[in-house]
Amino acid sequence: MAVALFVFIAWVIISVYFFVPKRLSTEEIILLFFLFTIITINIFVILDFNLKLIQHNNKSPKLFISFWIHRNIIIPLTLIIFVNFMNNFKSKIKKFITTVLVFSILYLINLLAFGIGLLTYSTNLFYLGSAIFLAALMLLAFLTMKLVTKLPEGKSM
Amino acid sequence: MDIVYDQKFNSNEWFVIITLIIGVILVWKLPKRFSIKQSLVYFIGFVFFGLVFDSTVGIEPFDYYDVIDKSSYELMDFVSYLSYGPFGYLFIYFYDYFKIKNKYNTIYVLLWTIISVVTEYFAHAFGVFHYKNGYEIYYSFPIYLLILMSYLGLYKLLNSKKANK
Repeated sequence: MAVALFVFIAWVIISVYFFVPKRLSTEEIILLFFLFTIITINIFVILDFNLKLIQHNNKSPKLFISFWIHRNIIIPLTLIIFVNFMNNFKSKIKKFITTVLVFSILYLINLLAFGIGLLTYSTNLFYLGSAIFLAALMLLAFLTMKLVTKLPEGKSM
Repeated sequence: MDIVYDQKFNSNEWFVIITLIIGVILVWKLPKRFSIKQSLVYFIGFVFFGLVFDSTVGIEPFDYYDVIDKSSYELMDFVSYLSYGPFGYLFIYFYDYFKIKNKYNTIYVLLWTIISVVTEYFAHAFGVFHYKNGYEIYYSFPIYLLILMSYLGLYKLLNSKKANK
């Protein structure tokens, strides 16, 4: 059930990604996807293994597959869609609405992940903690996109 | 319960730092062949693949190995992932430099897979990796094969986009 559900969510996110108009180049999108995944995994690993605030279900392989899809596909790809919209829109209202919408979607998916036991939370500040975690991810994603798009086009390195 | 392998700054940390420095110098000094963004894709890409695989087979329910000194996550763990970067860049750099034809792709990937396994063997000997739960070095062989083939696919994709412009 959990695997089917998260495969379906990933499929929806992938489909949305293909329909989103993109002003970012293929190189930028791939680079951002790599960076977003690296950031997401690092935050998850620190929260899981060091701080023990959010912990993944380590007993069931089925739930682990769902967790893997959530961490490595759903979150980074949703962030890619988010930065694409932020890059497309000039209007501040549209940017604000997009931010709220993407945040809400990620928050609901995260709640679902906790609801079906994919992730467990060890503090009472479960709802606030999730919100801070996702807001931090979105902020980092936005700043990374700004940094990557400012890189010069010429040959270097 | 965290496992502690050692607490000193010793051979495993030095192995990671020296590998990273040599790799970055090589990347920096070699004549430029790609744009900055493309170079970053090839550099960061291997860090990405390394981190994704390590945070998949290196954690429970699999938990096949730990990196550096402890089973928990440390700064040096991240530095060790960064040291994968030059490896990915050089893999693509030499593929592009020698203009390897498609019919030799298999041999090229196989060669780099062997180089990867040998590098991992030394990393394991220096205490960078600590295998657990029956993991053996030859299990890494298909993982490298898969990553390097995907990497070549990525190079082809970016080049086809460049050619279409």
